[in-house]
Amino acid sequence: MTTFKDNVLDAIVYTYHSENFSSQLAYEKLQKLTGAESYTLQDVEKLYKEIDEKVFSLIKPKEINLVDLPWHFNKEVVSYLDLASRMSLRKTCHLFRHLVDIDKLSIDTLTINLCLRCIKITINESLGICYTKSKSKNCCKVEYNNSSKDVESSFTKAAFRDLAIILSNPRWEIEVLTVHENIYGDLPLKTNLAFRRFMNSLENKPKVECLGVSSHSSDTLLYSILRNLNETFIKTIEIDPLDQLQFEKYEIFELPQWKNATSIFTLHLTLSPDKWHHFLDFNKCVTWFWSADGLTSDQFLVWKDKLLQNPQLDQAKIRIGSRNGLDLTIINELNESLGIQGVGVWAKINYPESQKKLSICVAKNFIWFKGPEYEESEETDVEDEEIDYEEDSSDTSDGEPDE
Amino acid sequence: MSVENAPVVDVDEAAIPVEKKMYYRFESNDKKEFRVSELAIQQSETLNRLVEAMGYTSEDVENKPAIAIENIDGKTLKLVFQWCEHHKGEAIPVDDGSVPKIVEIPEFDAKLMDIDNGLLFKLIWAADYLNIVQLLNVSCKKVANMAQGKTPAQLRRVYLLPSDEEDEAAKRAAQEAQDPRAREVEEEFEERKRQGGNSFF
Repeated sequence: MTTFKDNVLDAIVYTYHSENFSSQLAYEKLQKLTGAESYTLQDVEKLYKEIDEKVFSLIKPKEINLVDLPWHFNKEVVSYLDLASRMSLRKTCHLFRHLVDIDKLSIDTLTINLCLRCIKITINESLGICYTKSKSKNCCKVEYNNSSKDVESSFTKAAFRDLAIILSNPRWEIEVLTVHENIYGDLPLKTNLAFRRFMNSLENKPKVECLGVSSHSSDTLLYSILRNLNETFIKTIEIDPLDQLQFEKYEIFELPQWKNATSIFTLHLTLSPDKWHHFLDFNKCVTWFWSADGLTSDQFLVWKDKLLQNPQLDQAKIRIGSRNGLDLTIINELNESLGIQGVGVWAKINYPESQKKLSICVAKNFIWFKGPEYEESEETDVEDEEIDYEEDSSDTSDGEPDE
Repeated sequence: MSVENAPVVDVDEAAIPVEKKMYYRFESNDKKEFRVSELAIQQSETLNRLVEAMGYTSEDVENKPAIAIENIDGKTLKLVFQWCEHHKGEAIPVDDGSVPKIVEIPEFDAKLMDIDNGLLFKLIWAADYLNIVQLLNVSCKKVANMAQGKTPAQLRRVYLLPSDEEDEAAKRAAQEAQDPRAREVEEEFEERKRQGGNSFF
């Protein structure tokens, strides 16, 4: 059926009105002209009324859509949206891209999994997007929410392009950024390298509060990420080497991000004890070194003096070895340097010009400094008692801790 | 109270309470007339100031022409005044700076806003024009709720957003007036489009 635009029909009705046709005649003529009842008699009468009242206009009021609404309203709409909705909305038009980008946003967790043939980005443990290498060159598959699409781009480029939107936004903050390297199959060396290049290319330094890295080359990967993060925002660093990592990237210790962070947690690092003092810059340090070979009482006393300069200290717990910990000679040597005897005995030392105490315990598998900010927790106590019990049972010279 | 039963509008003299309340008369741009109680008008900062400035007596309200609201049509204005009458006497919320605002949509409001999106956006536009704070708050939450879980294509439909071409044209027209950040955003958008629009976000 032929359709006519309303304003064409309105113009015809207007002409009939100007020729002084009655509304009934105008209706009939319009019907004849268009071959259909495009307008009812009531429609024509309504138009005649508008013409008589001089409110007739061929210009129809424009339909209001969301972008016509006040800027502040749309900005507030964005403030209610979760990340997934924001990401969808910013793809619709310029206005919403702008509004989403300028609105502050706090992301709880952003996890990046690097594999040889895919990259997975998970946001707030709910929104997951996977970029997988396709067989055809320069193509990849992007999977999200049980749907997938093929994209003309390498999987790394596609993933990093999206990741850049989150990481480069100066108004967005990430509570926990975790970068995992796949531990199964071939090492994702190329993906890892591409990711490090990507981090170096970011326009803005991401605001990340806690950075966790688990990789076969944790120190290199950590360095590439950490040096590109906002220096004042970082609070916590977590390192999970996937195998016995020789920690060699000493430049990390000079980064302002390393110096500004307040907590560090690591698993199984291989690092000479003469570098351990870099881990004592933090208010809270729980770390694990494979071996304490070369540890001297002089180094130990330097650590003690360094920690006595930090009344904000929570704890510095250095676990040593997996099976073989410190040998008895060095334990005794360290304890003697504190003026105490026995394994697992706590020494308490006053902070300079203060009643605050630094507690120190040297045992077979750890050297533990507890600062004034340390709070005993039941969970930790049980765990530590078990460790001490094992030590006691294996070494008859171990004594009971005094607290 | 249901939306249909909300005390407003198309004037029924018998429905006017006996007590000496002032009912103002307003006229939409399509010549629909509404009577609205003095208390309900207080929900709209714009109208409240207007009637205060006019200083009408009860006789003036009846004898003088209805106050014209020239840029809102009758259908929209009816919804606005239904909302105002239902919420008359309620305190007007003060912005405490929290982002996002904590807003609950009452059942009455949810039903009132259960309308096609074109009309909903007109209602919001009117609420903004008439400065009805709480109506803006609930409608904002409603519009945000509409976005959850939608793809960009679905959002374009739901929000009646312009097509890329329309958006481009509007953008070009406003280009000179933009702030530097908006220009950057636009350039980034163009760059992404040139790259084939392949990004997920």
